[in-house]
Amino acid sequence: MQSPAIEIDRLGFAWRPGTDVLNIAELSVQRGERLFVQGRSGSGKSTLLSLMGGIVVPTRGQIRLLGQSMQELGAAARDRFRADHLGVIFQLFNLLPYLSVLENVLLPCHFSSVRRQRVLARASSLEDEAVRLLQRLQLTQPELWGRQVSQLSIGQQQRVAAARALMGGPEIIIADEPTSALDAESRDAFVDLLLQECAGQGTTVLFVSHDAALAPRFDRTLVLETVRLPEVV
Amino acid sequence: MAMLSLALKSLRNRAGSAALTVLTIAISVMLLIGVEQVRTEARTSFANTLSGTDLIVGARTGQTQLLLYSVFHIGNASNNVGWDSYRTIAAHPQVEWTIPLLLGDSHRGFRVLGTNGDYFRHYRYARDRNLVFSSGQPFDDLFEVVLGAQVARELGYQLGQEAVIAHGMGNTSFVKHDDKPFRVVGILAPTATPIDRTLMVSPQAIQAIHLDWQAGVKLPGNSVSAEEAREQDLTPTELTAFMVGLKSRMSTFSLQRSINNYRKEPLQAILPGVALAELWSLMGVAEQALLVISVAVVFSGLAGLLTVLLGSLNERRREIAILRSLGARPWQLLSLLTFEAALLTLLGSVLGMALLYMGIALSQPLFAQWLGLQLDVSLPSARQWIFLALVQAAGILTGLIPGWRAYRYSLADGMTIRI
Repeated sequence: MQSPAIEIDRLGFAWRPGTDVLNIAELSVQRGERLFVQGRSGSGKSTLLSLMGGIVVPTRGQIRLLGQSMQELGAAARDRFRADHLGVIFQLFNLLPYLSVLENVLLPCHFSSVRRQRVLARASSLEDEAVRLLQRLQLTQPELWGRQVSQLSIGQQQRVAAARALMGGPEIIIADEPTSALDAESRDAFVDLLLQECAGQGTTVLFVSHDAALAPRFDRTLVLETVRLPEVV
Repeated sequence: MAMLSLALKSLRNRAGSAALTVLTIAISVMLLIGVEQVRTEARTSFANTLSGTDLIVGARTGQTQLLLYSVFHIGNASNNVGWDSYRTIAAHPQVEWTIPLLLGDSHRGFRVLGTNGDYFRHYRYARDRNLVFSSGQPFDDLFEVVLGAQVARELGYQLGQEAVIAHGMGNTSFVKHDDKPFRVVGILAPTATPIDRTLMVSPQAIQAIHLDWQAGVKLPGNSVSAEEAREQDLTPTELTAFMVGLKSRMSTFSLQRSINNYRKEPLQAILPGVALAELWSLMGVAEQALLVISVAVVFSGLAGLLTVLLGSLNERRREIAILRSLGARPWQLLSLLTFEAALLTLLGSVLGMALLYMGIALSQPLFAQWLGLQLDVSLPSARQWIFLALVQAAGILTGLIPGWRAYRYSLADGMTIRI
């Protein structure tokens, strides 16, 4: 049996000693599972994402992605792990403004040969796969692909960001408040498209939002509480 | 390489501010290399004041002083050389030519030099260049004068005009040899040496205008007219100094020694090259000051580069977080920003050199005419290449600072984008 996508065991993190910003006793997310993480600002959402991305390591406890413990990897290896296995979608200003739509989608393959090879294993070229993803996310007009991203609407930009996160089939997609700038209608459309495509690839989704209305679309919800505990040894 | 094309596209996105940075660096580089060029040129032009002369002979004094008054026409000789001694040495079998130099009179602030036709035949400056007449010819008659280029330009003299020579230095000398005016027969082309500010007459002419003078005072009631002067023996009794060209350079030192040991009067022979180098070393302070200024200019240019890079860093935090989330390593971010700094510096240097060469090409005639500096558009000298390399290295080092900060940001921001 495959190891779970995400395993957390008595995880704690503090930027400075004595000021914990995050405490999670236990969490296990299976592959292909869709987890909704709900929490207000200050609840440690950003910290959880940084821990998942391997930018910071836990103060206490364990975090394993795809069976790999993040603490055991060096900083460079964590960067490579993130490049190979994680797709990230941010809240806003997701794309590099000086690249075209297509170039933005191709970016992950610059940093990861694993993702490049995964694409080439099933598509004839990187561009073909990028175009396929854009079409799946309903960016169908070819004249859109060569355009600077700044000429796109926010909703279109967010879909380009999703295509970029999906490029090269990473096992885990992390979305950090990707819908907060969208109106309700485009929000629902965006989440549906994202989840549809992830289901097709068997991707694990970790979707962070303060917007509880989205929760029913996911398999499970994790509510992060604002942590205000004095350090206990 | 992917990072490279990313860096270029990112830079193109900020073309406006990047262009300003390049311009700032270009101006600093232009000033640095320009000042360096002028400095080197001033030095060369100084060393080029005299060439082809093996020895300068004068009364015994310091070698710098002898050089100053004989070649640069600065200051006065404390003693003169007897004409007989001059003739004796000129007749030495090793001596190919000599140029007599008689100084002490002036014309409206310009020095008058008494010399003979050998001056125009044998005097050489720069790399073996002879004196060239822009118009006219050497003096032939007793009361004829040849003008240096600057004298002719500033006083507005034409061929055939008359000039009155005053005794001693200064523009408003009270005692003028106004009974014996000189006719302009030749004007020299510019040489960028003290010759440009000199009037040249024959040694006999110097003697003639002093006929009715004794101990520096005009004798009253004893004036000798120009016509009477022609009748007399005008061979001078003494001269200020003379230049010597030898048949073989091998004999330079032995002749120098025998002149220094000359029995009839205390004489001194100096090697012009050695004396010029010694004199230049006295002026080294001014040279260093120029260099310090140009280095300060480059520092201000690099500070501008740093300001622009750090300023753009804040708006690029977003970009850096996106690249980090895609798996970019810290060293890749560092190299992204350092490459940018290196590229901007390189473009700045290239543009700066282009501006400099354009400036030199345009101002070349002015420099030559007014400052006597011959600036050439030529490939950078070894020293200039070193300066350019140092600027480049400093640019790269400057890029490391924002690069390092970007790396710190990327750690602090983690996976979130903060604006």
